[in-house]
Amino acid sequence: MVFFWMVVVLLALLAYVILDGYDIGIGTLTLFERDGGTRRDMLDVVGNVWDGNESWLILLAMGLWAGFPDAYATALPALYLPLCLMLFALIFRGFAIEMALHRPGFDRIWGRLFGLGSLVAAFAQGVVFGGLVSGITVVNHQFAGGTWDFLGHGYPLLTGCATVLLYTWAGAAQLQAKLAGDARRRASRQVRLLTGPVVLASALSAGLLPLASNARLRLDGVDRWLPFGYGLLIAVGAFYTAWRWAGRSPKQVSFFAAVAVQIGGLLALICLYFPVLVPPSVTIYSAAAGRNTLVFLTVMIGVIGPGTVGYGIYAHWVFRSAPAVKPVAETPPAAPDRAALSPTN
Amino acid sequence: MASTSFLDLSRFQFATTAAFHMTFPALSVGLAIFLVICYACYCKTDNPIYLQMFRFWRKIFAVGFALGIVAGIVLTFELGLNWGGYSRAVGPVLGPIICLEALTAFFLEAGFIGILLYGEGRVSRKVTLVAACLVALGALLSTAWILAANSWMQTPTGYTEINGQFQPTSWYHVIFNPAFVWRFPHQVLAVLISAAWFIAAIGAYYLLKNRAAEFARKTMSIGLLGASLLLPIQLYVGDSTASYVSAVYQPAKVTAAEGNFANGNTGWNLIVIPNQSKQKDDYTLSIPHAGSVFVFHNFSGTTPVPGLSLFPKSMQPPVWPTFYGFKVMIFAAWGMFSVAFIGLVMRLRRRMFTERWFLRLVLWTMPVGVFATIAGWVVSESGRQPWLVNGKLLVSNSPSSLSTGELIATLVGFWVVYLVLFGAWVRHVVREVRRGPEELPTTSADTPPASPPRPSTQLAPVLVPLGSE
Repeated sequence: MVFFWMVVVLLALLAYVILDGYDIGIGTLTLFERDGGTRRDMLDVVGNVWDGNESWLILLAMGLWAGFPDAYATALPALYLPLCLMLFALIFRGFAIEMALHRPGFDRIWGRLFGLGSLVAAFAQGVVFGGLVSGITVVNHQFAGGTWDFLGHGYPLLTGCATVLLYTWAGAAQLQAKLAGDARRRASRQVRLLTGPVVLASALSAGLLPLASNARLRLDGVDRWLPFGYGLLIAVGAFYTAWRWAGRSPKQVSFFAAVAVQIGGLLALICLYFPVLVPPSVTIYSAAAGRNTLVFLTVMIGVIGPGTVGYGIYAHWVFRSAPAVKPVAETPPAAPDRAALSPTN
Repeated sequence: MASTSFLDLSRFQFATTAAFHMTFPALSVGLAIFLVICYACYCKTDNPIYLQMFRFWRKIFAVGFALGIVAGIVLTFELGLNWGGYSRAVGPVLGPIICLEALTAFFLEAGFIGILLYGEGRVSRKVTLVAACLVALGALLSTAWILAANSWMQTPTGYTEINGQFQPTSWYHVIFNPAFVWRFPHQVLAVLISAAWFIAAIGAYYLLKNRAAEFARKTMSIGLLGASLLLPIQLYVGDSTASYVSAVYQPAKVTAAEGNFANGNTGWNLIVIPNQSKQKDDYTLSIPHAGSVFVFHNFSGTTPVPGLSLFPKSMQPPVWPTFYGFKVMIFAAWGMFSVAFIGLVMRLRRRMFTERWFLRLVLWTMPVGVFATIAGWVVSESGRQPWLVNGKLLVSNSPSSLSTGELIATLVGFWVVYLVLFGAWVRHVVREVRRGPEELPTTSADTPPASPPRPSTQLAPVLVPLGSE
């Protein structure tokens, strides 16, 4: 039961990193896009999915709180400043994109703020990740460290930059699938350009992890090193695939390869840490809520989960093609693309 | 035990971020339902005026809704960030409820809001209508789960305590706790009335400006009709919430809301200047005998209203916010009720749309519903002090071990960010309202017009032909 709920929480984490990762990445990319029309198209790609993607963050947080209250109550205070920075950035970002989409004429300012918010959010999430894997001082079920403990020797700054790169790279991979023409070519070039730095930053983060973390990283036993090896292999293969297929047909391969990189990386991390949830001392078993809570959660996710995923996919499916109809307030009106208007297109 | 100033800072941070968040659900739950009404009318009658209303209100709704979401994310994180002791203790009970909110409400809203906002032209009318319904359903479900969780903190049932943690024993009793049964309808009515009043006020604005007359009349009619139907129910439900929940389970809250320290006052206090450290009121202005009528429904007016001296000083809620929150809520409710009643009478005499003083009154009272809703939350939360979970977990045992500097830095951060966003949101609403509803499309949305409808950017009345009918 405890293990099952851990899987659910990790899936929520994965879904969040995959989904919000790409839309935060696209946000960061808008900062580097000079052409106003393309920038607008990029905002449209994010506009109708960002809040759904961000729901996974809430599910992740609340799943952690419900299933592993001790982990939630210790990790959050320990990572107070980067988490608050992330919240500020996410607030600005969410508001800015709605303003940019609904207030034509102001979309320059709000578009910039959206990009900046995305960049900061990605960095803050990377810092949170780095701070968490480095380890947190817990005494008597409470965080007992200092304000700046999360920074350690600066490792979280490295993971922060790595996360920005990873998200941006995934965002570019998604864009080259969603856009067409010149914009698509530019996005494909960005995927190729970014692959190198992303590989470098990821490798550096992974290589320094044993030094930065005060938790015991374990690769003893075949049930650890074998999946760990697979995780690394998947990541390496996927990096190459994403690079190779950027700008080619079928369009989606590149983005799915980026997803595979994230899956591989998470798998490798789980092998190193399991069953530790908040390194070095809080494990899924010591942090778990009582049996009644876990049964309730399991039944709940079993009954509601499939429906949730189902209409999430439906919502993505409705908007799978490039944005065809601009929101009503668009000036000047663009000629609607009739082929794209029919619901069965 | 944390120090008092640290506690107060933590409290203040949570209270202000929660109040900021609440402003938006207070409007968007009702607006979501209003959008359903508009679009359903459009589907049924094919009258483009309803499509015009739908599109106009959708623009107002979208940005407020987004702000509500992001400000809500902040709250869920704050529970762990600032209140580590609390999240550890109540996680097994309240965590699953908020999880349910995320799964049933957030995903539902997030999944279909895209279709509601940008789906026109991509999906059929029927799908748009279903999407609107589901977004509204999501908003209501969200209200239900939040009220279940908060009500459990007011009247905890269905749990045992193990190792300083609350572990659920009966989910039925956790969710349908005594306070939830009354507070949920109370809150739903509150947000519906807030939105209805807001909608009516915007309608009144256009009538005052002689713009978009048909649109304005329909908007104001629906808004005021909704408010005048719901307000009497709300007065009853609100009174029952106080009598059957607060008075039974949280007598200290009711006492603080009435503002007496000594026992024996049969009057109903209008103004008090409480002096909690000396345990007396420095000044009171009260209506004689009205206290026993309102609190005990005793029309002889002789039952004295109990005072806070019944409770030890350390167990008393703060009187300032509890008392004045309660007064603001009550007077706002009565005020809106009176205005809605006048409106109803004038409507029957066919004068409502032309009496300018009445239109102005409705326009200027636009945010009163939202004020009342937030004031209600001030009563329920400050009236629960010093407890976080009533009778079981003290607020002073709940915060995380943070430094005061962190707290001040983020408090300032939240204030700055929220003030900027609130200003931008108000500007957005004002501009959209000034801009007015777009011209009526000549064809329906399923067969898109050759060029999408242009927004009316000029201030001149765009609907003169229709408005003069």
